[in-house]
Amino acid sequence: MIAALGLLQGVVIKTPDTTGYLKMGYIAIGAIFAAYLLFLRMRARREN
Amino acid sequence: MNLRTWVRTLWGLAAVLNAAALAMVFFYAPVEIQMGAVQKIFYYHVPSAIAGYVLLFLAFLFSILYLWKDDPSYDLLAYTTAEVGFVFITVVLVTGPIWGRSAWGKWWVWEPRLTSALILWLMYSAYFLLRLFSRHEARAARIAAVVAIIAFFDVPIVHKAIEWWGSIVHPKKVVLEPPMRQTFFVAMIAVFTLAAALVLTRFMVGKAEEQRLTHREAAP
Repeated sequence: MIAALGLLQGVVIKTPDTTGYLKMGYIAIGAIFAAYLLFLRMRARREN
Repeated sequence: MNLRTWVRTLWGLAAVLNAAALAMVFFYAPVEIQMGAVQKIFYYHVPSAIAGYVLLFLAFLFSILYLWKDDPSYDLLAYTTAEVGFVFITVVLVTGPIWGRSAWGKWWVWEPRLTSALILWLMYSAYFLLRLFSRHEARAARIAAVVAIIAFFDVPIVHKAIEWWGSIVHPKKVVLEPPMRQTFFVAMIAVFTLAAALVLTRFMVGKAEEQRLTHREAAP
């Protein structure tokens, strides 16, 4: 959910991000946390 | 309150705080005059670096305790905090160049802070490779503890790099306007809550893995 929020905020913001690097930064943050959560979820599923 | 309830509560809190922090970053904090909107990466870049430092310090402490007491619980705690700390350092190393490309015109500059941060990331990569590919669990845990202790000494170097060797890209001191300071404060709490939720979740997964291994060894 946090990662999705990061992704969504990165995509829909209305700040004057003319170069797109701000969006890219927050999308990267969201993607890293999403990937790690997915990795933890897979490991947790294997144990259950 | 058991561990599972703690984890759920922390995740709820982390979701609310991060939503608030992101709303403040994008709708409340002013746009910095020199760098423009890209400066807003700062609100997650710096708290992630601080959270990473704290988690790697905990990994350093738990590694010492593991070598001293030979208690596997300390090894799991060291592994957990090192792993989550590594994720936060990865966030720093990915967002830094994105910010840098916009602010300095280059993705990467071989200056003291960036170089020492990359060395830190590589040393912890070695730590995980060692743990993942070693056949002898207990021996790997002991060697990994030594690696975590040595690797941690790079954290103060990363932190003090600008003071000691100077930097062409990083400022020595950052002055923030009150709305920027408030946003940074909320983002710090949000990132630390997220770190705590991740540590507890990873700890629970580690415990479950440990139990499975114990059952497998005990089976006839």
